[in-house]
Amino acid sequence: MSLNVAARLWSGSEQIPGLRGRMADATAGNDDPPDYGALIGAVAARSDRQAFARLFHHFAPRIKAYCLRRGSAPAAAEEIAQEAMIQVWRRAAQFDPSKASASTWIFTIARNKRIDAFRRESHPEVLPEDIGQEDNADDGFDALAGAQAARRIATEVAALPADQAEVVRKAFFEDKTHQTIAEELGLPLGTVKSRIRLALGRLRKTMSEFRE
Amino acid sequence: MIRHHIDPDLLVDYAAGSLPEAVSLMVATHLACCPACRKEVHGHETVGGALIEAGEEAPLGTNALAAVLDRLDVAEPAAAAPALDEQSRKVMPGPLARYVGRNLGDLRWKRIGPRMEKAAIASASPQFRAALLRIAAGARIPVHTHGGREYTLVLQGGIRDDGLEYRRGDVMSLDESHEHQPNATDDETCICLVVMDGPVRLTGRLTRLLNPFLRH
Repeated sequence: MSLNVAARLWSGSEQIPGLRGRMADATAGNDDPPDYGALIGAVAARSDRQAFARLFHHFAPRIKAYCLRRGSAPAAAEEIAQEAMIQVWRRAAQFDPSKASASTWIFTIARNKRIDAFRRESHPEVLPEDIGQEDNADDGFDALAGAQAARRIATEVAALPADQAEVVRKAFFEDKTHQTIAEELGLPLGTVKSRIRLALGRLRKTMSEFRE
Repeated sequence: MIRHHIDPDLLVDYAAGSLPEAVSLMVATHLACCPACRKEVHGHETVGGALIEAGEEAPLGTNALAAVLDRLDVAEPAAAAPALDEQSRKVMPGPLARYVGRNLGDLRWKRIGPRMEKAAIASASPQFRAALLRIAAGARIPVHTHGGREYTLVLQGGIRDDGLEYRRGDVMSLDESHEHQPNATDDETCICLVVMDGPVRLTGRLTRLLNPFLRH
């Protein structure tokens, strides 16, 4: 079911050559995806190449699709996907399943690699060790229950009204700020802001159900 | 305790990876000080992860996995974390310290007013410029308006503007329509990170002639 969701999420976007929707695969798999967080753990614990290969098969084509969506040329998208997966290998020990799902963690790696390659810029990040300096008793990360939550959120994204889904997709997948989206859609900035806010509000509500 | 947060829209753009580098730097620096906004960003990143998870696939070349497996054993070039002195570490939260990579005392501070100095921070964003400002306690900052958007994040001391007070981690966000006259608070030297996407125009009669504020 979450696979149909993806197709609906993308509908309305222009076709990009080389992208494969996931609808066709929907019947192939059962509804119990591998625990990708555990695979990352295996890479961290014992440099498990088989676990890495499974992660690669799942995530590399998705990262490449993400980069194509956001305007990278095919060769560059391929390179970014490979670089991102190498980063997954190198940083596996830093993955903390109590703080993020595998897909969230890999999304941030892919995002940063893409910015690095596409814009020659960095994406300054907060590291766990930065936080100790400030007097924060409560760090307040939501612990999200892995792929389950991710799939549920994907369902929610697809269930958003079309106008909200469109702006969320543009914000996350087309390298556009609120301002650019507003110009592109010929909408007042305030309208774009409120649509994104409404959409994310809904999604956040879903996420809060997965809090542990 | 943070009282003046980053605009929520900027947190979405940061999580999505759509901001110019200098603005991302400002957001990350705020996040290091602000658990509430960190939580927001983490939520947005989870949406990004879900979109990747449920998204399309673009098949890689047939040898891609083999090529990557071959490269796994090549060690990552070590990123030498700069060893900064105590004051620099205290003033600059982690993201900013790593970005600047130098002690506060080693930056090129330029006097831009009787009681104010500025040190430019190199940024890859052509449009947005970042700088650190050092303002003497209690000093008045010259009246100015903005050619574009400006964000000021307090790192040490405080700023008072329009009846509001900004302390460490707080962000003041101003656009071109805003004419303001901020003051450093009296307790200590104020240090802040300023990111702007347009030249400052001084509006006072004398200061207009001098026009020193943030000029490179």
